[in-house]
Amino acid sequence: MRLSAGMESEPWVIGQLTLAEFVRYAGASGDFNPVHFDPAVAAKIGAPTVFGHGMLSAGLLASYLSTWVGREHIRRIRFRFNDRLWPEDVIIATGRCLSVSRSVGWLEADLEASLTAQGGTTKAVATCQVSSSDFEADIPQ
Amino acid sequence: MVEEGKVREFARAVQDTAASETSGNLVPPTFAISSAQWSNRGDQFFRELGLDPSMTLHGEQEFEYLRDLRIGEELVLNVSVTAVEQKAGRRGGQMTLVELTTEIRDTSGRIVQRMWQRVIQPTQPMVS
Repeated sequence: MRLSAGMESEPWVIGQLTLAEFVRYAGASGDFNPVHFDPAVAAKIGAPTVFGHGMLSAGLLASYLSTWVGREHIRRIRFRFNDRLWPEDVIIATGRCLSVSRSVGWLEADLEASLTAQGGTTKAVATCQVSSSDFEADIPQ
Repeated sequence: MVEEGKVREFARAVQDTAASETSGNLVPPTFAISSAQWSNRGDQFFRELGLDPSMTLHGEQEFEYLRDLRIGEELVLNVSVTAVEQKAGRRGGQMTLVELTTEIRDTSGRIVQRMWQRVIQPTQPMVS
């Protein structure tokens, strides 16, 4: 794995979301808040329809980061939720390396990954610290 | 207990193909939030804090990984409220910001992960 400041990761086209993805996440996570699958409850809180769990956005970004750098190298991830995931949203994950530094025998890097809908709306952003003795880097001396 | 079937189901829901195939039974990075839901009955905990789970917005979530977490491990979760703050909302009204910190330890007491969950709830109707 080679990392350098400014490099971009291959985008991941997740595709169109449907209610099925929200229901699957509800079951898998145990978060059965009905705003995620019952339009009547969503309407009560002023939402136009049901929307995805924030942690579904986070989970998708975490999967993207794991595929990019390897799960075992991830030390910390912070997720910020900017906008809800709506059914029929077509979404994509992108990532880039913000900085790389060397410590004894290790390389550490800060990465950023974004979940974006077609049309450009940012849904969620993850900042992630990774470290490994396996990484290689181009660090200006 | 980190059960294999639950991990596989979670990995499928977040489309994590790397988790099961190549990482030696490592669980997806955000899996611990689901054990928080299961073992602490998240909704009930929110109500005890005076929050309405259906009105709560998840603003931020953070995970710190102190060691690898694998399928089959037994974990002990400890949730505490680490910050409560009142703020004026952008569109008028008041909102409450609450930070929950969860420490996840193995049965020998060693810390495995920390999670911070930052949620927002309007305490008065927002003027829109």
